[in-house]
Amino acid sequence: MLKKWMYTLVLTVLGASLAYAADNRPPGVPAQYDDDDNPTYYYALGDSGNVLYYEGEGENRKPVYGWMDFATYRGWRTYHAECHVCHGPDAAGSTFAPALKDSLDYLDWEKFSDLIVNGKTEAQGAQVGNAMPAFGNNPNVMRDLENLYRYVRMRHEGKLRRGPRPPKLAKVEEVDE
Amino acid sequence: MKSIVKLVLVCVACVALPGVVQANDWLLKNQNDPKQWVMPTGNYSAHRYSRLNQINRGNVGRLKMAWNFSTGVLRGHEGGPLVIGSTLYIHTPIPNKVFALDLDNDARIIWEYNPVKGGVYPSGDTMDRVISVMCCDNVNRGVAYAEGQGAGDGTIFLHAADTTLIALDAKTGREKWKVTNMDPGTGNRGVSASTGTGVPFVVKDKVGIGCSGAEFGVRCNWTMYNMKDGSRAWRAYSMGPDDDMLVDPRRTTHMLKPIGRDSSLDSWKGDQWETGGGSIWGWYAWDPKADLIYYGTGNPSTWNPVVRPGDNRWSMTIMARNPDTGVAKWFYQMTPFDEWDYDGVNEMILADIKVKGKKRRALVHFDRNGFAYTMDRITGELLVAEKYDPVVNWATHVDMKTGRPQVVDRYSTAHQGEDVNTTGICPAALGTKDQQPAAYSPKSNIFYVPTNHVCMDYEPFRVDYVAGNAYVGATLSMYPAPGGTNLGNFIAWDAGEGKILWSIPEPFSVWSGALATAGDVVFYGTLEGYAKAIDAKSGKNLYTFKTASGIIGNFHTWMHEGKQYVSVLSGVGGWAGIGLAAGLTEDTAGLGAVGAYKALHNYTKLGGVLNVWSL
Repeated sequence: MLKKWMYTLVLTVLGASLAYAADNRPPGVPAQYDDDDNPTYYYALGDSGNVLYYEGEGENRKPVYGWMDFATYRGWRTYHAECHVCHGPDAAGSTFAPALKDSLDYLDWEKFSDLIVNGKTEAQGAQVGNAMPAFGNNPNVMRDLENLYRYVRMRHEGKLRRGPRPPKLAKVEEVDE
Repeated sequence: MKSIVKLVLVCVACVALPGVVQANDWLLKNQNDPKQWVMPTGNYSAHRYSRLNQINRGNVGRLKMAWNFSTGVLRGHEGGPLVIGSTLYIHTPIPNKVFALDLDNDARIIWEYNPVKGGVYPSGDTMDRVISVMCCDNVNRGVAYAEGQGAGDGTIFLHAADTTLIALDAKTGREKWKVTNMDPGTGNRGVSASTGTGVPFVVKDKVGIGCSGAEFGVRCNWTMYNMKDGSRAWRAYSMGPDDDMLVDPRRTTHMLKPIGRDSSLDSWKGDQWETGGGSIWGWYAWDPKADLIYYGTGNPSTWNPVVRPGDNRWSMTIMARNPDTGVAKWFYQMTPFDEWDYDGVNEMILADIKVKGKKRRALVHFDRNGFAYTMDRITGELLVAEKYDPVVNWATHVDMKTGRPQVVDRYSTAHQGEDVNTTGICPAALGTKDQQPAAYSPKSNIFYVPTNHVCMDYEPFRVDYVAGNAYVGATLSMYPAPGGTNLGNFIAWDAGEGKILWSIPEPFSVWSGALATAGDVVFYGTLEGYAKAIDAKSGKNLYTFKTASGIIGNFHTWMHEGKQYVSVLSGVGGWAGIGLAAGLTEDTAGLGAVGAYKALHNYTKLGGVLNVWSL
């Protein structure tokens, strides 16, 4: 079992008050889990010049600067290698497959991971004339199954902008207990 | 005396090649009949040009929709119809239905065919499985027709998504034969997860198909089948041992020099050629005089260039082959050692034009990599290689002595390395142009080219190959080319000089095939769903009509009972629909940033319709 670190979103919010210089990126953190043991993301705020996400609407919309954790970044990377060819860039959807950032309205971690491992046919509710592949035998996806959820969750909760590669914290090896 | 020598030579040829059949009279003859549209590319030279001029510059503004036909299928509708006599044949994306419509009877359905029975394709794989290994939507680019030379009174050929080639009786829609070319399933190294999207191509008594699957580690090939019974005539792989590629190391040339022994094996690390990609799914041409067929090969697999050092021959290559034997006469590799997914599959247009003042039997090719190539199609000599979008930056130019693009380190994803994000590369992976075919008007001597105007960041990383699974190994982020907000242009091109004549900006990538006519009108469609007619000389807009859905199909024209019709499939999707549906960038309008945010899904929705116009 993976050792769970005590970084939580509460800490993340505390981090928001700290301002890091561009060359003063905070240290990396291991992959995160929430209180219910579901994979989740982590980010640290700071004025790196890299936009992490936007908040507010219209005139009040403003950029928030910071870094995402490496595990969630891995999810971003795997998504844009394996998933975006159907689901569109940034989990934002396409003419072919749904926007996963919105699908988390009704998909929890268990259902999300089950879909990736086993796929879904039209008969099981995929879009008309469509099907979701089963990635259970694909090591390139399976090794990042949790990270995919972290990434889509971060998009779902509006904490990651669209577009080019987001800024990331350093890699931290996970330690088995 | 001279004619006697000629006669003797001809007879020697007769004796030496007893098995060689004559050219396919029906298609060769009927490609010149402007009342019909007998092959997807219009003619064997892939001109996409019609001599019809009833609809012309003066009256095209009065065009009216004559009728339309819903295919009943969602997903991206690429390609377009054939018109043979008074029958129109139209295909759909998966499940790859074919409809024969009776033009004498208000387009009533004569027959329809569906290769998927009980959810299963002829290969034995389920439709769900096949969909799950399509690279970019369920597209199919159309059917081919033949008559005589094994095709009897008329045969329609369908290249279904499961790689099965199906011969249908053109009159009844009944299956004559079918043969599965590759394997969309799992477990077969270098073969599994292959799919079919490209059109079949009829030459003489054979029909050929390519294959898709370079994103799944498939080693692709071009395969010719005998029309009579579906038996395999020959197969030429894009990479591997010389025998697999049907090359003659001493006679097959590249840049006018023999390619030599093991030209492909020497350009790959270890056995990587076995999963090397090189898919073939574009549009093809045949020069009956030179007796050469032309097609291009796609990207090497994987997208991570760092793990496959070498030129990865013969991916990204224009190939000229003998249609009877398959033996290659010449190759030209446009993008050795691809680092950006610039497939070389786009259409090959054969045109006899003046190149730099000298009349040439040319081949013109608008490549994904942003360069437009003009070749001598007989010898394979490189004549012109120029950028057809000024923003192309991954290479400064093509060295005309070696044929090699001069790659800029800053945009080389291999030079920057694994796990490094290489930014600002133009064009994006979907190319300055994808498969959407250009048109050539022998009347105006201009090439009309639908293009993309999109750039990207690209980050390669290491992945493992498992037969039947995606094998990609790079991330892409695409965005509008710097300095503007338009994602596409429709351009006029001078292939003899390698120059843009004029360029019409479009909000989205132009993903429909163009059509040029003797009425001095050029047609193209847009992703928002606009069908447009423009002046062939000036590019001035003459007619615009909004169809039911975004257009990624190709324009066609024909004449029935004295009336000229123009048609196109609408039905948004394909790679363009996947990439652009939600827009490319964050909506930062509130920040006062340049408003590049454009989401196609605010303009159009799914659904396949054949639109038909007349005056």
